[in-house]
Amino acid sequence: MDMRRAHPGYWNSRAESIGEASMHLLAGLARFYAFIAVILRYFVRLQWISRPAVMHVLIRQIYFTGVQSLPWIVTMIVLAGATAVYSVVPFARQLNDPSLIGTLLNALLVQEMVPLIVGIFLLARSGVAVVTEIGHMHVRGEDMLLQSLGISTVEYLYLPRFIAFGLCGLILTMLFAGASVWLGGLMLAWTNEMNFSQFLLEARRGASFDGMLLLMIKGLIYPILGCAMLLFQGARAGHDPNQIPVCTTRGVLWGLMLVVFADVSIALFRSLL
Amino acid sequence: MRLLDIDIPAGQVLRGEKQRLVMSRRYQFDLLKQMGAPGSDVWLETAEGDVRGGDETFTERVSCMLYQRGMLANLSLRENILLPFLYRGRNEEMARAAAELPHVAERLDVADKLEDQAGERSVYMHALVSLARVMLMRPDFIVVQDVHAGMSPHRQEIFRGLFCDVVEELGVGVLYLSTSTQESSGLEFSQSLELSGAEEIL
Repeated sequence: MDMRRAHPGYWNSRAESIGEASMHLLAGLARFYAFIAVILRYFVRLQWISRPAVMHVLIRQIYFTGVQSLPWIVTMIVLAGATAVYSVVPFARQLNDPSLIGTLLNALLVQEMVPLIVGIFLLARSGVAVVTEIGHMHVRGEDMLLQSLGISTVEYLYLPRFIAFGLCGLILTMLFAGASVWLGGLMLAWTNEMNFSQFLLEARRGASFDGMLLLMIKGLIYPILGCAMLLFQGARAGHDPNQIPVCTTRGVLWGLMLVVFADVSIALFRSLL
Repeated sequence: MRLLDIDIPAGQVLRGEKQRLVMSRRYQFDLLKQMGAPGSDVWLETAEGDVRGGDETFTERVSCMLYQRGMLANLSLRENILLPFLYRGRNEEMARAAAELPHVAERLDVADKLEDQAGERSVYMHALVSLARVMLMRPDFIVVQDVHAGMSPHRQEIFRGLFCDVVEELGVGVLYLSTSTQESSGLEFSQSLELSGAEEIL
């Protein structure tokens, strides 16, 4: 037996490091919660609507996150639609149950794959840009300039990006879900696998109001959670430029963890209902 | 007001007076952060009552000119100069500032650069944008953080002239924060305080 493990000090130091890590994690979660609470407070006040500077940042962020990412989204729509229909339709045929087409497409593609793909895509594309931009602003001391001008960094820097991610996430998710099913059907019809009208009918049968609601909730929450984590990490870069890549990596990874955690939580919550 | 270990009596720094504090950059940032923080220990005494640092009225009446921190890199020079007005969103103020901006830009010789994105700029350009903002905001008081430092002698001379003219025209009080008594603002200070250990930590 290892002598070091037999020594009581070994287990004490292990327990201490686990305790420290847990406390560190809890403190980080508390800071993250406080960060989101401040952003939401500014959002609810609605003063940002009457501030042209904030609206200008919001519009620019929507353009970058929503409009400029459209070519990538369209490519993914085609690929995801093709993957989904060419997996689901042969499977339903094997079981000789066409009603499975709508049910599986709704359960797998629309409710699970699409919100995750869009959430991860926004995290990887716009999220990295957001953390880097916020980090550089802190390094250049622009937060101090804003403070000296009486401009709230939360309202000017974080809130517009937070809103843009939520809004673009929701719209892109809905667009992705509708267009991928529709394009998948067109591909099936083009390869003579299935009649387009019949496919749409089956897809429509599998869709439900609850499913649409869930899609909207996920499409809104995943990008918002990811964005909040990215902004939180960007704000922690301080004045050290070496911290920007560290914060970017940490922001993307934690953002991803939050999205997956939210997905699991929603699935568990639904199974309990 | 208590500033670090110095007691500054009430009514000491206003009424168009120019004062200088020589202190390390770190202390300057501490003071500037204090001014912007809500519920800070810094305030402006006015006939209508005291205005606390961090308050919206405070930032309207006290302008800051920070060393090499006059602009946001991702905005144009025009947006940078008009930023406080665009943030507050008061239509009358925005219209006035937008109407005055061409004359201000002409005087500071930046009229042809207004639409350029700020990006990385010289200390001189940061100082000019800060000065343009002060000219449009017309504050009661300016806190200046060593904006003359790090310019070429030729640029420094131009900026010194512009700065002194604007301060004179506006009749504002100035608190000049500098790391050295050898600064070149060109202002005649009624009082200059030097904090012990003002030299920079290397």
